[in-house]
Amino acid sequence: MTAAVLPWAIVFLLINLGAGLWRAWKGPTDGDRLLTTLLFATTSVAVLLMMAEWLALPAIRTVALMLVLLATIISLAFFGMPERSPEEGSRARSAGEGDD
Amino acid sequence: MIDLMALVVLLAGCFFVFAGTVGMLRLPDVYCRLHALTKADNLGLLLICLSLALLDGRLRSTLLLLLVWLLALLASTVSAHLIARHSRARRPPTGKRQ
Amino acid sequence: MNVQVVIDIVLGLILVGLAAQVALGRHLFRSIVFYVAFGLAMALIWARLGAADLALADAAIGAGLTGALMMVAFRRLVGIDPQQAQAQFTRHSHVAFGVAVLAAGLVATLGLAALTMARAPESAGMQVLTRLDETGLGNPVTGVLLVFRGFDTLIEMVVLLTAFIGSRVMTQRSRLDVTTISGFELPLVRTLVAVILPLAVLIAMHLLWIGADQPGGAFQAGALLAGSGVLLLLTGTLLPAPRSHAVVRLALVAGVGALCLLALAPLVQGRPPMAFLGKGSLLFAEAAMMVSVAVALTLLFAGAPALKAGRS
Repeated sequence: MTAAVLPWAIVFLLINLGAGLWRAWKGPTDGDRLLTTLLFATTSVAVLLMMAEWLALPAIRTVALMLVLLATIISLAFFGMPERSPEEGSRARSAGEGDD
Repeated sequence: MIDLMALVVLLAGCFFVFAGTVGMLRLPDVYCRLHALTKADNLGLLLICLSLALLDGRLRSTLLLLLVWLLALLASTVSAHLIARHSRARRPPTGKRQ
Repeated sequence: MNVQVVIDIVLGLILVGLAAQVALGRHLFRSIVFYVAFGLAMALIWARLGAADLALADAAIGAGLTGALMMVAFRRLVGIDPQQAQAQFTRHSHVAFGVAVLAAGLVATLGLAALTMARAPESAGMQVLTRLDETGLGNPVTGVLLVFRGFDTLIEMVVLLTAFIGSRVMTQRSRLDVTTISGFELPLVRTLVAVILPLAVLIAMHLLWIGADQPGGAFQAGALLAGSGVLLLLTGTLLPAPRSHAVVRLALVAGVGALCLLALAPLVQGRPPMAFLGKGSLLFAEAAMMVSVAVALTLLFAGAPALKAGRS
């Protein structure tokens, strides 16, 4: 019975992902946008693990493992990035340059 | 019986992931959103891993799923920390809607 | 409705929506975030299609390396020219619109043609599957890469080496220190590196070892190692160094060298070049390729000829 529900759970999580993209579009800060990549990483891992079970391909579990190993790269590359929201752009820029 | 348990846990996992997404979309500022997303999502991932481990049943797969979850926990802890720190340096929490 | 079709439709919609946002978005940073998500969606789609080899490579390169590369490039742009980084692109060129329409028409024509075309009975893929037993390999992808189309792989390694040399020519006088964050002031980052690095090396070796029989192999292992290398660069554990070193150069040409050996060795026995020599020789070549891929990608990211140990 669970095997029949599993692909529908995948569909549900994928729709969740699509909805989460709204936050990347809206912002308002760069941190908010980066949140979406966090959501994408966690949910992608869940979907990959479920696909491995659904398609009976254990190799896909290794993909999930690789994804969680490298998941922090984006946040690390982002850290120290100057904020560039319109209303306080100038202040943030000067603050950001000293940070690098 | 095990199948039914796996189903219940799977649905609960999907619910928590859903709750995390709703929190990310609806809460007022970046700190609240981080809080909702990282906690609820990782609980959801744990429940999904648990359900898949019940379905699979082998020790090897169970350990692999556990490892994936622990690494995901570490990754989102560090990511959330970095995002929050970055945001706080630019715009300290106010408690008001942005 | 069939659930497989629903999954395919949802994945397709997400991918096309992300691609449109990457190409048409008005904020540079927003487009970068969508591009990272695009890489993850690609990995999901490869997994859905059962192409675990491609999903592995895309999880490391599409979702990790290129995303970080763009993020760092954006940070540098903010440093060099804040005005341009902040600019909103409100107008698109008419040429771009025409090219997009042409490209969409081409894809639609090819797709329709592929749908109506009868399947060739003697396709190369079928031949690979029927003749794979002769090689003793279990993974058809590795069979194609190193046995049936070995010369292609040799040229691919040459392309990577050429790309690295080209980037060295371009970036010879660039500043080297902008990539690194002040990572060691952050308590969690040190723990992260201590946990991730040994595991990544272990899993890369695992991928290399099982590559002959299961999804994995030199490119996947190399990409994972390169991802860990970038992690080390970003946290300041490794730093770009201005002068190259003999060991680094040797690592860069190891893949090309090993594949050339693999191609020439059969001549000694009087067989044609690149003839299959057994699984041991493949493992040797794959190990060398893994090292080259990992070192070349990490150095490309650093924009430097070599690396040195950073703060510890």
